[in-house]
This record gives sequence, structure tokens and C-alpha cells, in this order.
Amino acid sequence: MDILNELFGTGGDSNPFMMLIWFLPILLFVFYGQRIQLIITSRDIKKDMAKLEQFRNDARNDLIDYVKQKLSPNGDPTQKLDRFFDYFTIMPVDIDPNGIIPKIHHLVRSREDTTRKQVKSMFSEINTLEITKVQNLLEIVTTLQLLHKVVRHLFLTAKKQNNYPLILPLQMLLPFIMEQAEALKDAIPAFKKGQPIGDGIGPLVVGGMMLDTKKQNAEFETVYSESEFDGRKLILLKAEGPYATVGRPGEATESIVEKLKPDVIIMIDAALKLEGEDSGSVAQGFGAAIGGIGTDRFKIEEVATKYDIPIFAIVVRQSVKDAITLMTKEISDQAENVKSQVYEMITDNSNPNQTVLVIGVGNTLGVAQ
Amino acid sequence: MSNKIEIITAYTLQQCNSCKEQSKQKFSDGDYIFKEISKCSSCDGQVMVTKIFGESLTQ
Repeated sequence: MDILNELFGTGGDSNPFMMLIWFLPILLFVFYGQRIQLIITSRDIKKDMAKLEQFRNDARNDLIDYVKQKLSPNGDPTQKLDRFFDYFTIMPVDIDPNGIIPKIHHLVRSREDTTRKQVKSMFSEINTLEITKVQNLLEIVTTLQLLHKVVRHLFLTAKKQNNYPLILPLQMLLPFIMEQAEALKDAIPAFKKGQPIGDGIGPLVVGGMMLDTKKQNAEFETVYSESEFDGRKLILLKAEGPYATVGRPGEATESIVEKLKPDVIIMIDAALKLEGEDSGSVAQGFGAAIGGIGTDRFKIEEVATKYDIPIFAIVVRQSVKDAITLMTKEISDQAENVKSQVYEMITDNSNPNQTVLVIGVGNTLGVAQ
Repeated sequence: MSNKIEIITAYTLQQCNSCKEQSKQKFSDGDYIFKEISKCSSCDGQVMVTKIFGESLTQ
């Protein structure tokens, strides 16, 4: 009993067991703390990585099944599609003092054109709607594959080097990556069925304004028509629906501005909402409301600056998921409200006999005109 | 952690451009917004798809 008391008792400062109990964890955490944290963090990251791989595999199988069952390709498309998923884009050198935008623009267009040709070549007969749907589905699988590969690379590098700080940025970024991946996975049914997505609110509003007008080709997969409102001439521009395309709003705006010289430009687009904001809330502002890699926005800003044309914007706020999945009722219900705000903006910012260019920006899948 | 499953059903809203009579039905393949469907049964107007949206049901 005395021996036990001596070993475990709290009376003496020099108790060897108590000292060991205090010092052992301290030493353990000093020397192996990062490795312990690495093991704990790794477990969570592994779970998310498995999810990412599942999303990628499901999306790949969904696309292959869709192509095989719905589109009757020439032969088995699996090998060709698998090659597409690994396509990469090398961005131009960014230390070029002459401007990088034309180079990015050329690269993006080349990639789009090549993918379209490759998709076409897989079928003896395929319509434009199906080509654009397959192109979008390919983009989804490619992005999911890329996300999985990047996360796996960062994770395995940190593990290989037993480097805990290297895994921290990944741990911080992973919730955002997973949010995007889940949105991409959920987007697949809408693209397969040709249903409008949240991003299509701009084309939905402008498409409604274009009804009963003569539609003309503005650019590849982009249409415009002319209309009148309250003594003003309206030029209405959107991607050609109901295809799964955003069209070429940059080039179309350039050519329309050069030809028809509008006095005001109004752009309607979906915008990412901030946390706490309601999905479907509408906001007005200034500047070119258009996402993407930036080349279209650059072109619109350039031509507007050249001719001193003010650009106004109306955006419908939504989450990443809402933007690329089937349009929600909340967003769809805003179409009439946005349309009346567009008309109000036209009367407030232009005079009779002036010309206003209204652009509906976004993917026009499932939205005609 | 909730184990609720969210089921999203797609609906198509059709409206007559003359009498504004509306009908809501489940989305069927080939539907798209501003697609002209048929002549209105109540008046002689044109019925077209005006909305396609998803409504979620949580189980």
C-alpha cells in the first residue's frame, strides 16, 4: 500500500509515475504533434477524397450510359470519352506585355471548337441540342476528375513527406471544393434532360422579351432581335436556346455596338450570393455582369469604353448549386420582377429615340426565345 | 446530422397568351421554356411553356 501511495500519490513533487504521466504527453506532442494531427486530418480528407472519386465515377458512367443509350454512337465511345476527360489547357505566358486576353480567347475558342468536332465525329447523326448537352456533360466530368486529381495530389504529397503544414491549405479549401463537386454532380440530371438551370435566368428574361420578334444570328450560337419600348429602340441579345450554351456574348456585343451604336447597355445575369443572402434576390449595379474566364467581359468593357457607353447590370443572386442545377421556383418566379426592373432601368437611363442593348447572360439550356 | 433525403421534382407551367389560363404539370422530355404547345381550349390563344422549375420535397 505504501509503495502504491508513493508511486501514484499526489503528495510529493518527486513522484516518478506522476512526472512520467505529465511529461510523456508533452514530449509526445512536442515531437509527434504534427504527425498526430496529420493522421486525424488525413482521415477526414480521405473520406472526402473517396466521395470525390465516387462523384467522378458516377458522372463518367452517367455520361457514357447517356451517349450509348440515347444517342447511338458509331462504335463504343468509352475509350474516346475517357481520353476527353483528361484534356488539359495550358494557359498562355502571363508576363507578356502585349496583352494576354487575345491569347486566352484564342485558346478557349480552339478548345471549344475541337471538343465540338470530336463530339460530332462520334455520331453519324446528332442535333445541336445534343452536341451542346454532351459538351456540358463532358465539362462536368472533366472538372470532377480534375478536382479529384488535385486533392489526391496535395494529400499524397503531404503524406509522403509527413508534412502537416502542407495539408493545412487543403483542409481549409476542401469544404469549398466539396460544395462545388456536389453541385456539379447534382447538375447532371438537368443537363441530360435539357431542363433550364439557375444560370439561365438572364436568357429567360431576355428570351421573353424576344417573343414575337424576328430573331437574327449575331454570332455562333448567339441571337439578337430588335424591338421597341416607350419610344426607345431595343436590341435584345442572348445565347441561342434551348441549347446548352452561353453563346458568344463578347463578340456579339462588339459587332452589334459597331453596327447599331447603342446608347446604353443593360446586362442581366446570375451572380453568386453571399452567405446569408436569399437565393433569388435581385440587385442592380454598374459594370459588365458576366462570368467565365474573363475574355467576354474584357471585350464588352473595351467596346463600351471605346464608344463611351454606360453599362448597367441586374443580377439574380444564387448559390453555386442553384446556378448549375434545375432552376428553382424562387429563381424562376423572379423572371417577371427582373423584366419590370429592366424596363424601369431603360426609362430611367435613356431618352426616347435612343437605342438600348439588353443582354441576357448565361447558359440558355431549356430556354428558347 | 440529419438523414433527410431531398427529392426534387421538375414541373412545367403552361400558360395561354390570351386568357392567361395556367396549368402546372410534371416535366416531360422535350419541354423547354417558350415552346408552343397547342391552341387554348377556352379561347383561341396560344398555349406555351412559360416556366420550368424544380420543387423539393424533404423526406
